Amino acid sequence: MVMKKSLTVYRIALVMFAVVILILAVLSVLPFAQEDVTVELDRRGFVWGVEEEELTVEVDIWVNNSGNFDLKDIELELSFEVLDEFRLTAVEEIARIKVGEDRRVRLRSVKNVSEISNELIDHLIYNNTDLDISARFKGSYTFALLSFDALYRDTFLLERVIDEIDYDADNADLFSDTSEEQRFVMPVYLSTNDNDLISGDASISTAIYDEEESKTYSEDAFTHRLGRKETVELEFEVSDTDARELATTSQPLVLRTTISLEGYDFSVHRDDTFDWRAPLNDLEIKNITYRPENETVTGQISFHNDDYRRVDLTLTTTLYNHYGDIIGDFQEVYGVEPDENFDRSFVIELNGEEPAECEVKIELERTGYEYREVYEL
Amino acid sequence: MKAKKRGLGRPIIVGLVYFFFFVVLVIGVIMYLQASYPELENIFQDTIFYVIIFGSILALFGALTAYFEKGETLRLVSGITKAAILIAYVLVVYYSLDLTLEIDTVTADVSFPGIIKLKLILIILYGAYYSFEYFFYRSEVKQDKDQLAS
Repeated sequence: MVMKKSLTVYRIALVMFAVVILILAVLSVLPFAQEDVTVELDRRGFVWGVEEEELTVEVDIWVNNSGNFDLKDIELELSFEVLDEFRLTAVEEIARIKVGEDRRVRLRSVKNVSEISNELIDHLIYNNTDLDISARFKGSYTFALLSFDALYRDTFLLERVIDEIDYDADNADLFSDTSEEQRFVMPVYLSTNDNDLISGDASISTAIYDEEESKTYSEDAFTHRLGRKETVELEFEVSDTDARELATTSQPLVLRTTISLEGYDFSVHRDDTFDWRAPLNDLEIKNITYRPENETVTGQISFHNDDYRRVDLTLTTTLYNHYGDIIGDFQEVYGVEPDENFDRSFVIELNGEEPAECEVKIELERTGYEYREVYEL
Repeated sequence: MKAKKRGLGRPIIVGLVYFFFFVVLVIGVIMYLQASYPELENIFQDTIFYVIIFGSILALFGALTAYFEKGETLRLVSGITKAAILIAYVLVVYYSLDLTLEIDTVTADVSFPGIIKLKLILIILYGAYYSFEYFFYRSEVKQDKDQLAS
């Protein structure tokens, strides 16, 4: 009889054991189904910076355990990936997160900047790029009742830093402030973005470069606040010789730009080739001849207006004697349409004095640029 | 004293109860879950097939065990075999589940190592029950046989 009772108790115990297992199973699964166990990326806690050639990314992740059992042996692995090329990983291990706990976990990852290709930096600067974020959350409940390996994916849009950078080569011009100081001026339209990750100032330095001659004409730099749209006039001081060359020679020029994001130690270089169209292209001042029999000085000036705009100019030819005194001159105003040839002769009559030098000046009305050449007769 | 007469009523009822709990009810729950939560549809790949096969065998052995009297060696054998089939049933059904959940941006692989271990312990204890039962009742069966022989 006792034996039979023991068997009955055993059977009841088995049933109770089965019920307990069922309850444990339900209590294990339910919090996941009801999203009581969550992992969230805190975008406000996303910090990055570059220091001493090291890129550091720090991010906060919140792990909430509103389930029924402690979470243990947790492994959090956070990965950032850009264009399937650059990957940054941070791993953090947590022994236990108790029931009801909402814990902030800070993940930190460091990578040498040299591992980031210039192509990638260029891409990030000039293109909207998806930053793929994945958080792997591994762990188990107490007594490994349930174990999980969850992968959370998110995409963070990295807005391009430079929306538009447009060098207005068509409106580039040569200016003369004084006879020694010449400026090559080019408007540049710049539109940039700032975002949660990148803000502040950008230092932009530019140089005009002749690739064929491997020659840098001049440089200019300015500071631009990210997130703005502005038109800046780049002003390149050029020597008289260079100015003369630019005024009379149409040629492809390279605008070499370096954009440095201040505070991030990141620089990006770009070369923009543009066609410089000289207003006095192929200028020739020829056949300047003193004719004693006629007491005249004659000459011929020709060029092609390669500019998109009309060139209004004043041509002044002045004759000097051996003492430097003016003994005759010629002045005429001309207008030359775009893509039109200019070919004129001049005759200056003398009144008995012998000329020593002939100065030819071409002054462009729009910019005040003055081309000057002196010929010995 | 007369020897107990074996009847088919009890084993049929027990077999049907097993069939109901381990086949009909389980398939019903699976179909309900699939209908209610479309995202869980992929979890049950070949589960229904395994439930039918192993559940039916389990019900058969449930009926067979019920057919034999307590203390009989064949009841011990069929009872332990039933427990072994129950273990196979649990493991096959568990491993047929594709517990990879994909909800929005989350992919989660879930497993229940602790729960499965507890279930296996329960089934082993259940199998052990037939051994205890055999040892407790075999003297009664022996008495019945002796009486029948005399």
